[in-house]
Amino acid sequence: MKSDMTIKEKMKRYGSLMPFLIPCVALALLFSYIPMVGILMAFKGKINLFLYEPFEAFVKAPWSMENFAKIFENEDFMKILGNTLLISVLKIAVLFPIPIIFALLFAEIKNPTASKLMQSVMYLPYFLSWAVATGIFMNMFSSYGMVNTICIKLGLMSKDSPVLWYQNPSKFLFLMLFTGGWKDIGWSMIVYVSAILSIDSTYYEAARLDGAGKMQQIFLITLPLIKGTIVTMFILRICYILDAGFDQIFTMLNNSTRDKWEIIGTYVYRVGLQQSDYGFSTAVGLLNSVAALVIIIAGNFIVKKFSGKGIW
Amino acid sequence: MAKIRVDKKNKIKENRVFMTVDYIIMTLFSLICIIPLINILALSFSSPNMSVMLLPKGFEFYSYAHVLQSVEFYRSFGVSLLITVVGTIGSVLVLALASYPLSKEHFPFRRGFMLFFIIIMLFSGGIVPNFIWYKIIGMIDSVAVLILPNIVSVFNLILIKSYFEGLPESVEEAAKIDGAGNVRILFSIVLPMCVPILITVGLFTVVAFWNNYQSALYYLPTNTKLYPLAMYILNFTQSSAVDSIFADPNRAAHKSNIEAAMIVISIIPIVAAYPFFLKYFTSGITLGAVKA
Repeated sequence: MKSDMTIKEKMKRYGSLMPFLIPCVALALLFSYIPMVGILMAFKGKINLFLYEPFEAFVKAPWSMENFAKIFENEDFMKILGNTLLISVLKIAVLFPIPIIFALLFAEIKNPTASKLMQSVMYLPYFLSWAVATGIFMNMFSSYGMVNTICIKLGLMSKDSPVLWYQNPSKFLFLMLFTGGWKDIGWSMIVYVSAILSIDSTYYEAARLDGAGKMQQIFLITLPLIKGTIVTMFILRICYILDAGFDQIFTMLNNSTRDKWEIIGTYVYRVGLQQSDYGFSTAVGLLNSVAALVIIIAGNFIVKKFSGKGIW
Repeated sequence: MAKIRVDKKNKIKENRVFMTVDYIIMTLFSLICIIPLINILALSFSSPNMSVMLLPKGFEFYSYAHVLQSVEFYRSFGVSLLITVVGTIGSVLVLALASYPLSKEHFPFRRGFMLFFIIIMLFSGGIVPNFIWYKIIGMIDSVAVLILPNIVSVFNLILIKSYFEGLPESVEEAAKIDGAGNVRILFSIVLPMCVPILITVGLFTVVAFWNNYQSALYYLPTNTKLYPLAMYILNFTQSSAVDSIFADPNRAAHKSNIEAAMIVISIIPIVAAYPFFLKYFTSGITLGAVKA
């Protein structure tokens, strides 16, 4: 009966709720939709903000595709695109499987005190800002910080030439994975832990009676039953492959590593807001978001096909 | 018979080895998670240029005394507090208001409105168009730019909306017959039933505002006085000890220790609220996971 309500009937019944949407819609329009008009800047030539007010400068600039042409002539762009993909792929390769393995191990810990204690310690880093996390690790990995002190004590490093981890471009990927893992592994485990804990315990009882050990239980019961969750999470993760993690990378970069390890996000910020090359930066940002959008829509389509439910 | 017994014995042994390895790995990981925090705490109470491990070396309060006398630090703390409180209340209110109609299956243009919001979750103009627009409307270098653009979180909107969808409509129908208006139904009947999800979303939002440094980085190009704590700390850690703020040699020597003290103080509110987080976040994320 209800399903074939006409718009008129719907309006009559729920129309009075319309005003509740006003603040949210207004904020979305004002801060998300209207700025999208500015994407047109990517298709404009030089925007002169020294001579005119922003709006006037924007209107006065001539139409041109030079920004897009510049992107593909630019060696920097190819480098930062490569960096973005490399960082993302490394993160997926290393930091995607670890939470699954740890969740399997964690779910076996049945002592409530131990599991509660571990849980609260493992989630904590997720709640800190990257500004704070990198601040912590820059001190821990400084010339006479804790890590170097341990390395020197173990004889892995000479006292006279301590490694400057954050200043050394060749240590960047290691630090990125280590600090990224520190912050996110615990939190990423939650989805898998809850999937594992929702498995019917009679499966395990039966397996135990048949003489299956822990390893067999994990490989023959748990993993097959959480396969759906793993595949869904994996596709979702792939969707964000163009996002190498601005929050993290921006805090890590400094004058010694910026040249080598800049990513798209930090490049758009540096060129756009620090060097005020608005059109070019917008063009790079636009290419990035369009590519990301296409990947996400495709990913969602696959997830929907696979599990019947999409991201939205 | 004998073979089965041997098998069983082997299994018990295998399980014991497994559990031992399991406990070792999980304990090590827990230690790795907590040691950096202990190290920074120890560093904040140490004298300069010491190889600090887990305990302070050359115990002193210089860094804390310095930080707690710094007007800029108090101001940043205040800005963070302000944007977190105002932003969280505003965000939860706006999202709860919008979620209510969207949770009604037959709300007119419901799919259209959802699409309208999902689009902004997936696509944005980017930082430069945002910057120019905020400049045009005069929001650059103001405190509002740290709050207003961050109010609408589509992810949280979807969380609240799905919670609303699970509520029985009969209670509302009864109130409607009694002549209660929409506003009253929402505030005195629906919202009190949704406290768990509102707290979950509220806590997500508190953390997001407290930890956000990007808004300040992008949209406060000159007004460093409005830097929230995260941005203030980032700016401090990235400045080198030869900068003018370190004119005092004693202070310059203490740079790492001062940094550590600031970091510790900035984490205190998060740690204080952490028991709540654990209680509500885990239920919230499973809710989100079920939805997704």
